[in-house]
Amino acid sequence: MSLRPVWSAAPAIPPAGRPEEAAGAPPAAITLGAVAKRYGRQLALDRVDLRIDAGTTVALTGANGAGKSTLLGLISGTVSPSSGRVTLAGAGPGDGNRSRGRILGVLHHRTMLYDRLTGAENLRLHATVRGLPPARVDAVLAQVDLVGAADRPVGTYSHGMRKRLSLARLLLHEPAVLLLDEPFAGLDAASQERLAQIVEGLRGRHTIVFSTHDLPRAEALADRVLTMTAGRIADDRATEVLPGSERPAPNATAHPTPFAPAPGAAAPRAAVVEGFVRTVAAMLAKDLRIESRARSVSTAMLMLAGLLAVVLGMAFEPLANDPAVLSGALWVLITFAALHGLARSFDAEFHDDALRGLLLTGADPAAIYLGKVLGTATFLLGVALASVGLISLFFGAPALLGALPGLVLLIALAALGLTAVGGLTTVMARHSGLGETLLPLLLLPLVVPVLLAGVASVPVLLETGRLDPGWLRVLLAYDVGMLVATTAFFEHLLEG
Amino acid sequence: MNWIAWRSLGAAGLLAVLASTFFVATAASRSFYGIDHPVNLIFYYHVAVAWVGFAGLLLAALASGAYLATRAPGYSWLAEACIAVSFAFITLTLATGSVWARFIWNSWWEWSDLRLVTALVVWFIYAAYLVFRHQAQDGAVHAKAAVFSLVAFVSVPITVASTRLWQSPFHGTSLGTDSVSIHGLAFALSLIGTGLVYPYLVATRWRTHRLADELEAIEAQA
Repeated sequence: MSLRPVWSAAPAIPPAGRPEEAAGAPPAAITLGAVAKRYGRQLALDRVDLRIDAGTTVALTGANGAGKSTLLGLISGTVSPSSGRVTLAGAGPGDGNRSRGRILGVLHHRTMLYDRLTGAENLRLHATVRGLPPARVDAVLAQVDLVGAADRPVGTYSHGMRKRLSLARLLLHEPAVLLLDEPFAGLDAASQERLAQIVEGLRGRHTIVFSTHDLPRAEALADRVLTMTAGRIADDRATEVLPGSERPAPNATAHPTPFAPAPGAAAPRAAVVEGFVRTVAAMLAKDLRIESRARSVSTAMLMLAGLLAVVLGMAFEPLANDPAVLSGALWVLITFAALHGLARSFDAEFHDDALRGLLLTGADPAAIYLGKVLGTATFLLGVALASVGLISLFFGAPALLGALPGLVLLIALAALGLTAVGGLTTVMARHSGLGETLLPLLLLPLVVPVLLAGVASVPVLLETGRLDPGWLRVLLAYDVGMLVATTAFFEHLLEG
Repeated sequence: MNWIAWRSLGAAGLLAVLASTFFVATAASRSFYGIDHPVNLIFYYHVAVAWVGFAGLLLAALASGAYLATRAPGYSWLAEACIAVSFAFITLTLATGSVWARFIWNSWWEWSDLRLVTALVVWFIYAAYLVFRHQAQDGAVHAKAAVFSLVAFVSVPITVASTRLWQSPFHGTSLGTDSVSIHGLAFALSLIGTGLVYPYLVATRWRTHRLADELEAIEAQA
């Protein structure tokens, strides 16, 4: 049995006046055909068939473990079906990620935002990655009533404010379909009511699917309530429209939206390149902004490097003037600082699923990874250059500072290779049973060429004042090979 | 190929290695680089397991690429089986090389022998793969392991280049030099035999994984 993901595209929602609409059959926004999902021995979803009409609001109810989140995950593409087919209207052929990012807005239990950035900065990051005008940020902040808190770090927000900011993230690109996984969970009554009013205001303009345990809320907000039991849809019924209700009628022609490219349109090559560069730059700027504010990565690396410089300075005092010893000590500092800093820097991407939020925009995962690598390599370069000063101080070797221009080039090339491979191995270690303890085991054998180049180059640099061209070629080949390989394969590491 | 054919392959490989041993014991020269010592005969097995073991890593990289392209778990298990067997072969390479060095150079380990150093680095890279593979609790271990296998394979030639730049070779190439007289038939039989035993071992391990998967699927349906 093949476990290959099956996620297909369907023609765009037909415009008004098409024969099927005239015959009274509204177009489908989402269609599931015999979709099953198995986690090991656990059957989470059991051959579900479902059609959701464009412009309708559907509530998913059922006990914990009934399959609500799995169903939403399958529609959003974050979960791959074991069998069956999920079809989204308006998706272009062969551009799965881009289509999903354009059509869908997904609200999860986690905010998918960066705590250290302000609300507005988070939204600007998503708007930049999506290529949206900055004015959209102000518009959605007003829509969710967060203008007053826009310049506060998200870490200081209440739970209700975080939910509303997450909803603002969804609304940035005016997606055709909103998927809301238990949006009211954990909110107090006032926050629930506030969020419900916002969702109510979105009805009719979007196809909305939300899961909830709150049946009265489901009845009040949805056109249709699906009750799930043991991975199946046990009940499917339309809700009654109460007399005097102002519930808007489903509007199947409300999409596509003004902030999305035409469905199925292939992006021009120049636009793809521009989007790639924009995403890399946005990730790099985001990391530099967070680090300039929190200094959580560089401070930790610097502390470790300082401690090691003291210990090694004491241990190798009789050999302190030997260029090979100086070089060895410097690269021990850089290696340990890298191990520590990589884990902290890449782990931050998984806090509150911030990285997954960016991937849901449909941005190129390679661009996201490259931006992250450049940001982390910048911190590592700074700490490594500080390590040169530390070694120079504790080993009484001012000659190292004299060779600084050559060392900057050498360490920059080394930092790039270390970070490219380090990011990949950090993500792998994170998903293993051993966690961070596995990182050195995965990383160090792969970066032997970098470490050899570093250790061998410093004595040559100190003696001749020039870098050995052979080692520079090794570092360049390593950086190019590893950057290409790791950025190309990064998205496969994020499957879960 | 059915299971009997795989077993026949393994048996044929074993016979070839035994035949090689006969020629090594009776006809091969014990003199390498002017040093006459029986430990030199370890060459006939050391080189064969090294060549076949490293070639298996190429197969593992191809299988990993095939897994990422098709998502068929069989390719992932094939990559794992190749790496596990190659890992055992590289361990044998290191052990036999170290034993040879002990008698000829009077040292168990020489940093100036770049073949040993390279083999050790590669051994660590694929040891990490196996540890990750057997520790990962994530449902997508196949994809992560495949990525690691491919990145590891990209790193191997650069590692070889860097160790060559780091140190000049302490001992030169054994094959094709006047100072080493190789018994061609004995070496060919050893290489062919090892080359036949390798796929048998890989198939055995792959089949074990496949049966475990099938058992799990049956248990899940029950």
